[in-house]
Amino acid sequence: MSPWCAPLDDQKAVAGRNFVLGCAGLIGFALGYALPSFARLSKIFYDPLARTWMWSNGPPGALPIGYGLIAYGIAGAVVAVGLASIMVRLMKPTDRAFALGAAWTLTAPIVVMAYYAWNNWP
Amino acid sequence: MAARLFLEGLARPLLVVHAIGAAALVAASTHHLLWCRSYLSGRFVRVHAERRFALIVSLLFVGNFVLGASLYPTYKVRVRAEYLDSQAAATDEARLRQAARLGPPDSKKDAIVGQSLMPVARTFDIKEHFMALAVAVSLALLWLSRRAHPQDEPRIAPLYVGLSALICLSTWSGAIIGLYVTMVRPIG
Repeated sequence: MSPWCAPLDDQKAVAGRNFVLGCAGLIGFALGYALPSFARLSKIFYDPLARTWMWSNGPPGALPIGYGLIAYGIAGAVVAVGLASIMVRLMKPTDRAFALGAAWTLTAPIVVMAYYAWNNWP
Repeated sequence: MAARLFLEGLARPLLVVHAIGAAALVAASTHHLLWCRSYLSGRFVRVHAERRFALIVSLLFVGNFVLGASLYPTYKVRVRAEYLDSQAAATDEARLRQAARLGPPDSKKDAIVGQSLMPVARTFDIKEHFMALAVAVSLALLWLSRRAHPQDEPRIAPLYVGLSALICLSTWSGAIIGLYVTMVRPIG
């Protein structure tokens, strides 16, 4: 049965599961986006003058652009959604899960924004 | 002469499109926040239109982000490296403008000679990170609007409105910082 024509309780349950997946995706993206800068991992850079892509541990020179952060973010989101989809099969989100999920989903991107603001502060 | 950088030849018209897109995004995200704020008090009015706005915000955000990322190589070389990071270029330009100034001397403007523009560049970097994260926030909001709307499960409402507020705040700050940096030095 489609979730959109399911009875009200089922619809709430489907919305609850999708809520967990959405939370996991955003938290995973935020953590994945911060990870390479925080842990100094190698990532993809683009050199605008040479018009080449490179894989490096730090910015190779002054110009290369670190687009690789976004790739890490997407990978983080995929992993987190994968783990969350297993979790929602095993348990139903409780009131506490809704509150914690909402709090962490709002906090994660704000903390990562603050991390990058701190590290680039003029 | 052929442009050396990716999309450099189209940078000016694309920057205009980027600015128009940013203005539309600021308007749409503000509109979305205003329309969904009543969900916190359990009033689900204009749900259909609000959902449509969540889609519009996401599409505008992704489109504008891709456009901005495409223009970034031109900014990085022509603005960041050749001007903002180059103390000599900024100082020489300030001196030339000082020499060519019409009217009485302006001590405030004369004081910028020799001043570092690094804070402007770093503020722009912060904005870029904010936007990259806010795109993901807008996609999460789109997902919730389609698959886990507060009307179906009211416990989602605080997160839903919170994400909308975060997007709204990010788009406003991004637009203001982008405009500020462009006022200091456009792509040329």
